[in-house]
Amino acid sequence: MNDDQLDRALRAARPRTAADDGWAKSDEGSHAFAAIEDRTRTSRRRLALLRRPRALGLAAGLAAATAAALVVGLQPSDDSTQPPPFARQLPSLPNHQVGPVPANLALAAYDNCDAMLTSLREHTAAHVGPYGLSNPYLYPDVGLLHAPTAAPSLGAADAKTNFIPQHSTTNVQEIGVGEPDIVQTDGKRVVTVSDGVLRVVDAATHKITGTLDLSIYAGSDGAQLLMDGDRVLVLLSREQPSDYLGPLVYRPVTSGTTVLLVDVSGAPRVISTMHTSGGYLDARMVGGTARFVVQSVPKLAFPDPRGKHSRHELTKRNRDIVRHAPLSSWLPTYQVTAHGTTTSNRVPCTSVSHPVYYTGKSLITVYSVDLTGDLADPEPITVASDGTTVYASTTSLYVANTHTAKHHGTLTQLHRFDITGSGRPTYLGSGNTVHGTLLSSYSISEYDGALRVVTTRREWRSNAETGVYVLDADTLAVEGHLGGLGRGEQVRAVRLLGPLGYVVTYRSIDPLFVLDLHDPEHPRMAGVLRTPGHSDYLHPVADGRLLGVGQAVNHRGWEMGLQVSLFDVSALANPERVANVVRADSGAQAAVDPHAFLYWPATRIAVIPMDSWRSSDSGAALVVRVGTDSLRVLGTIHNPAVSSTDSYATGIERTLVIGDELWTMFSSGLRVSDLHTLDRQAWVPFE
Amino acid sequence: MEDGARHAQLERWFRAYGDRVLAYLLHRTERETAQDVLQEVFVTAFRKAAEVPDPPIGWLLGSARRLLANANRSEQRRTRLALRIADTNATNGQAADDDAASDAVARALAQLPDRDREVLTLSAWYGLTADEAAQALGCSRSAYAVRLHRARHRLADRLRATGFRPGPVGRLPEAAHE
Repeated sequence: MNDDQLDRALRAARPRTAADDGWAKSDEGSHAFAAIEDRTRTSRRRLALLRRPRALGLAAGLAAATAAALVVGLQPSDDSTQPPPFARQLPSLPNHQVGPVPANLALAAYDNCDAMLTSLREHTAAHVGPYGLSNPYLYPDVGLLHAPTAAPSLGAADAKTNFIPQHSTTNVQEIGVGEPDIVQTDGKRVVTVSDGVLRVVDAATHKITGTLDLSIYAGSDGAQLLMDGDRVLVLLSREQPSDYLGPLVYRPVTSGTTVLLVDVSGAPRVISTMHTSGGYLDARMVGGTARFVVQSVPKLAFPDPRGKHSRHELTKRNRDIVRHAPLSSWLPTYQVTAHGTTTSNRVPCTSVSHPVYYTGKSLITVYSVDLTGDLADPEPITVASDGTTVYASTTSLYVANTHTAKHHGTLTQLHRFDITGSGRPTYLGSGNTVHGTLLSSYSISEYDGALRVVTTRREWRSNAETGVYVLDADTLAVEGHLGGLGRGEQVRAVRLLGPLGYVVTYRSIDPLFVLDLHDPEHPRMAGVLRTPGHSDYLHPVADGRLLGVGQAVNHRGWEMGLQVSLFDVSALANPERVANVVRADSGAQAAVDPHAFLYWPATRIAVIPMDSWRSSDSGAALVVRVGTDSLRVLGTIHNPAVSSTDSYATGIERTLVIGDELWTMFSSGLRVSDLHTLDRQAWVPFE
Repeated sequence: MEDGARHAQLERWFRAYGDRVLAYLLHRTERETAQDVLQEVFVTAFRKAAEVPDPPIGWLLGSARRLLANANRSEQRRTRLALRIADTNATNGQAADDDAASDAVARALAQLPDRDREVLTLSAWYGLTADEAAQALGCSRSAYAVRLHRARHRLADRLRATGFRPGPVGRLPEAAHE
């Protein structure tokens, strides 16, 4: 094949895009350009404004924080007259809409509903532009595709056993904190959801005992499950652009979250449902109580901005709309169906709080449901903020809000909720704003009264820098900070385990940083190991070892294939790689989703689903025995139903251990293998 | 340069190259991020107009590449070009045999390391000259030539491994951009 032929083939494979038909000169293009031009014209004005009132802004911030503290009966501590701890280490932050928050705990409840409306209007109006509330500018409610009635069940068999074998869960970050996933088990049953169908499989007989078609609900293809006893909570979210209106600016996004509580004691049966507009963020479950976080935006209808009006006029008009909007525009609403009746509810304004600085552009609501009960009262609690990442320990739930502040890069603020007990959580407050973005929920960890947050500050790769902030979990004030890890490198993996932390950054080699977080005020880098390649997921295994799953990289920096590394981190100052396994031309799904990884301590095996273009490995999972100083490949597990060359879409998605069996979930079925020999015991097709 | 002239230049750039920058982004991320990054690229181009070469396409795509990497990480979006190519091709309503051929190429492309894909697509999909592609990648022209040569080899290897044969010369779809 010569270069010309190759180029021709390449050109032919170019996917068409919405930008291909003279888009820049089209109407949408002009609007997109108008937005760009707007920013080039206003940036300087804003800079000038920002510079002047800095001192004033800080004073105002202090006043607000003090007032806020008084509202909730907190005395501002002595610290409130001092700059926040990290102001000594970092450039100052804007003093409006984001921190630093001088009071140790910055939260506020509204005095009453009127005060709340005034405040929400003011904050939202300050952030409204010619096109509405930035982007997307309107979220209409999507609703259910059909009325939320119990879905029909297909076939069921009663297969109860009293003996419950030892079993794994899907991989979670914190022990004791359940994470929503596409498969859950209690050792007796395996409940899966794929292609919009929920299936209950008996663990002893390997038979599907019941199915529930979820396709009547919006968002069924991305369904996730939480399970407790005979109950399964199904979380469905739908977020998609509405009809095509051009690729830019005016593209309303419809988002909705639907939650179903399903009884799986017999044929799966929907007991109650809840629907709310707004996007589903994430969920966690502790002790049978699930908390799910939904982000909603005010229901404000801004007129179509296309027309003769100047952007200034449009902004003014939109502000007027915000200033006259009723409280109901902001308060999240939800519909609940339980006991055969459907009710529409609104979060009462007494359940709404706000951090001292907020934009009024969106609200996060934490709903709680005891899986043994129903969804009749999901006990919402709302905080006026954006949310991007959810993390929970067994006692606290944190919602992180990573956002970009003009001229200050990316900032992250954490909101803390007390989730001890099973009822409505208590909003405890919002923390100091820290610099940088999070990699995932694995970047957050609460341990021994300290909240550790690993962030990467980076406007450009060349000046990227990763660090850890240690916050007092009670006051959410920054106590210590260690920066300067992996300069110019991107962060690939973070694992915070007890008083230690591990961070992998990467450019062409993989520094594994060992962080000593024993002293919250003085987090320090205890050691660093540089090996070729990178780890994208880190997992603690026996004997003080750390398993890394990532990519091997050759001397040119090209990714060569899946690499599993075993690190000896028992000597903090001197981490070592004691073994590694490379599987050419493949990657690990766990690099993208840690749920795809499994480590089973009893037999010390790790199961690592692969994406591979080598036919013998395609869609298979690598099974590795993890020794003290060795890694041994025991074999691979394939989907028995398809030829191995055609398994792009049929690869292993999850692995579980139940008793002496290894269960691997494919999108097309479940394979049960012997845990020791990996021989196939059963194949349960999803049809 | 006067502000007025800079704005006029920005508009010229946008009208001439906005399509290609957006297409580049849409091939790599979902629409919401694409539109955010597109805006950022041109705002940056305006602010750094003095550093932007003429024609600016190499600089614009290089800047789009960096800003997108930034956006992807900050949003924890791990969408890979590989997946998007496979996706888009699956839903594109082209003729069946076209599909099969394109699909083989898309799949082979998806298996290459990121940097190979960048090198290959810059010229073939967005019509960049060698100089412009080198600007986009932030390397010298000769380094680009070497990288392109190697990337082509690897693509050809992958295609041969799947039994792909180049189609007839006449079947050149409109997708040959520009």
